[in-house]
Amino acid sequence: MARKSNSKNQDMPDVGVRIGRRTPKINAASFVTGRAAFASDVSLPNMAHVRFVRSKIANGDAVRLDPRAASAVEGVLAVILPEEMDSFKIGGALPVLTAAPRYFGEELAAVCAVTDAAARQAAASFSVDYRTTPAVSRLEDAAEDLAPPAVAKRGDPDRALAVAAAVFKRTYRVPAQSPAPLEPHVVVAQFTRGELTIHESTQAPFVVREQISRRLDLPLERVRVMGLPAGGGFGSKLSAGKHTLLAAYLAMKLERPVKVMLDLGDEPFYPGGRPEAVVTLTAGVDDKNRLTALVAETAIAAGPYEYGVDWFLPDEIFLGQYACANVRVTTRRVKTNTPPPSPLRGMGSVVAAAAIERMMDEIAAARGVDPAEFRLANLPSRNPASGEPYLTPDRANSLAACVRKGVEAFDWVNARMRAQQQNFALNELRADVKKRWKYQEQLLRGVGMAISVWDGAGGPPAPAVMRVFTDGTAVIEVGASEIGTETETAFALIASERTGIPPENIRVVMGDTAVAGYTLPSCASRTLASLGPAVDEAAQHCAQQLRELAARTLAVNERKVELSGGSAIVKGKSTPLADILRQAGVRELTGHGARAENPRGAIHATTAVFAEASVDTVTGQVRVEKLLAVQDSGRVIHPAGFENQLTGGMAMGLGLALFEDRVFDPAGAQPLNSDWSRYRMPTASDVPADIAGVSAQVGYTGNSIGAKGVGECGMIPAAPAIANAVAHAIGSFDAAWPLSGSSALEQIIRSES
Amino acid sequence: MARKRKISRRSFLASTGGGVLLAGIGMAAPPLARAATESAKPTPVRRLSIRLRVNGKSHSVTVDAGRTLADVLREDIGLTGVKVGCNRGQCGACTVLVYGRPVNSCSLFAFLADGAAITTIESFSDGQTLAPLQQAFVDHNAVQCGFCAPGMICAAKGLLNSRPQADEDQIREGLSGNLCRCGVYANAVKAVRSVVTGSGRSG
Repeated sequence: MARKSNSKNQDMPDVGVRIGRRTPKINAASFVTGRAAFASDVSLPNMAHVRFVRSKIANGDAVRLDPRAASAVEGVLAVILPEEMDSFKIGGALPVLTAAPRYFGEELAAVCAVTDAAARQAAASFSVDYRTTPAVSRLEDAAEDLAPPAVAKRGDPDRALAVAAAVFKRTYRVPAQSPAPLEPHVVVAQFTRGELTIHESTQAPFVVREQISRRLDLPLERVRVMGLPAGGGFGSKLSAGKHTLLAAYLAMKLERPVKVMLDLGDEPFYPGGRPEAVVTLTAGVDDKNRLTALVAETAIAAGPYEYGVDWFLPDEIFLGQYACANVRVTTRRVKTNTPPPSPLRGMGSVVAAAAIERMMDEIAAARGVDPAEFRLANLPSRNPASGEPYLTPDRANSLAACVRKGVEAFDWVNARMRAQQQNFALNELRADVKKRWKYQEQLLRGVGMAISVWDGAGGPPAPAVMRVFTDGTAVIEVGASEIGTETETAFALIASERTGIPPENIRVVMGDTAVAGYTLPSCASRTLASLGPAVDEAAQHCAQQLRELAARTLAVNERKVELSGGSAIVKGKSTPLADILRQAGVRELTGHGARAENPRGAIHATTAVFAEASVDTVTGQVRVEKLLAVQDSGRVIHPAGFENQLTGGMAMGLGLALFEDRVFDPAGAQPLNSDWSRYRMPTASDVPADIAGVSAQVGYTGNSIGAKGVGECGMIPAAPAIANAVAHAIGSFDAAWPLSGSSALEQIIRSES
Repeated sequence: MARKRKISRRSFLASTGGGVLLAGIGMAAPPLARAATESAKPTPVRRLSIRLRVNGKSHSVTVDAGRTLADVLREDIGLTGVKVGCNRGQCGACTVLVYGRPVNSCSLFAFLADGAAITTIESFSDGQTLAPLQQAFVDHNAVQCGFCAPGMICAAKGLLNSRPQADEDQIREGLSGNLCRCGVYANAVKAVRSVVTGSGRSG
């Protein structure tokens, strides 16, 4: 397979007729006109609505759950108490409903009514008495572990630290981050004629199907999940949730369609996102500034249940990013009365990068070397965990290419120098107390960078079907759902490249378990790398049949037939495919493709993010002025989508570095910023106009389309790159996240005294 | 922003005088005196007959007093291009134009819009060609998951109605009430700017 893939890849130039050309998202018009239907837009006749009753305490017992007032509300169809859902557990750990809440907002009961308003009113009139037990929300107060510490190790880091030329130790707090997709978690379940149909805003239709089938004891063939275009997911829509189970259960019980749509009153508690983490990092370097030891001790506020405890392990970056022979990564999953986690873009690699990438800058500063050069000097030439070579054409680590290209494109050395000179002049003026308030320019400027690695390989199972119809249009059917990453456009471009059918004549049907074959979820930067080669194979299969038909119909040699612009072209003469198909009496052609295993070797998508930021010396406000991501994901299939993934990921990283933090009252573990006016996310005013994502233009030989994933990649190094720019501006590595405002200001004031 | 779920309809109406919300958007206050003098006891839900002028078409609907304009537009009139993200006026996905100005329709009681001229995303395009703002959002790749797009385009339209020559900072500010977690902001700003400068596709 590996050899076959290699040769195929070399056949394909970086820019084809369609692949690599700039095209808008193929179905963008349906979104800008409001015609696109999301799961939240699904409305069925006779549909009932569900609202949850949520705990007002973070730990203890609901000693009395009195449903009488709720039941009396006009239009209420059912009140569901915890006992009724006892046999259902999410991930074997999370109760759907519980009388023993372990975090504020946990679901105690639910009401189902003929209208959403009645359901809301009933949920609000539920009477609950509590017995409160002390709750823990902060890592520093937590004592109990949910699981034994996870340990990964190579070499002898203790000995390496003992003999290091210099040792650095620092503790970093990485705030909890909420996925906050704009479309809330929503499901409509319908049970008719023994078949359960689930319309869900999900990244994982086949996962939902399996979970629902298992828990409701229905055969898989009786459960159909239609993953409509999801209004964002970012990891939080990767399984059947409490809302899904309840909707499916009630649809069967009440024999009518049931909709559960969470809103902002529910969402803060529902998908927990990436929990708070604290990383203590100890690093040693030798006298040539090579990283010789790395000890990472991480604690994660993993919530109250043994659920998702392995999701946020930071191992991939700590073990796989730098050529360090002696590494130990220890991760504790600490029990806290905070919402259980959900996956979130970049997973534990965001935590790891937040620590190591800031430490790399601090070491570089202390050792008097350029941060980019320092990183380049410490990159491995083979995967440091496995010893395998990278699957780039020259088998080299593409991170170096990312860093070098970024250094050049960002004018890194000069940008750093300019910022330093300007800050020096400003600090001189600020030191003179009489002049400082007269001086208008009060922005310190800084330039920083950070890098990351991410798997991005994709893989099977990922089947694809392409059907070409007699009118020359086509459909591609794949099982992954479309979540905003524009994979539908990439698939259309791949199929168009092979068959010559214009992308606008190719419809991509995604996420329907009744239509497509089993596929892993749309997550972890894997959808394009998994399904792209399958679509390519299916399209080749169709193209071969089209060529044969054209040759027969036009009475020429098959090799003379070129497929382009929806036509078969022979010696400059063009015949529409529709004519050929009709003449041949073919109603439909079908092509099949399946994703092969990845070849042996180290696969990683690599990223370098460069950032320029300013810090207001009076308010501490941080503004990001410029962001650049240089990415190696192999071949770029859909350039506009590739850029959007990088710039969008960086926007989310900007939020993490500057604003986002889920804050709990330390005494009662009540969330203090559980809506979007207090949980501050980036807006149009925060993301700079000068933002770009470019390809490092390194080839990739691991699959037939030569592409790796990109979705997580902008996110992971963006926050530390911005933090490093801020540290460069204020001359201190001490500022805690989130940086903008009091955190940066505190360090500025400290540096003055 | 009033968090309406914490405030009873009665106290809300009493405190705002009903018309305040609309005064800001250039409307006459509808007759609300009766609603404001209701007893404090739980009362049967009051149903009101109102007329909404949506996208140039008049709709007579009977609504519960507590229902939002977003709900009525989506559920009664079938305009699901009006998206509901947060349902409390913080994300902007439900933005529609009332008398040409952007309003979070999830935070406006439907009956308060009685008689008002409302424009939703559905009216922007004739079904054949996209409106300039829509086309610009497509051309500048300002659509990822697309959930925020209708609201953001309505916000942009509202901005350009009052500031046809909006500069980049004004556009940023005009769009800053519309969250996009996919992070298309830079492209969205470029898209709106291209409509202002008339640079169209190449802009």
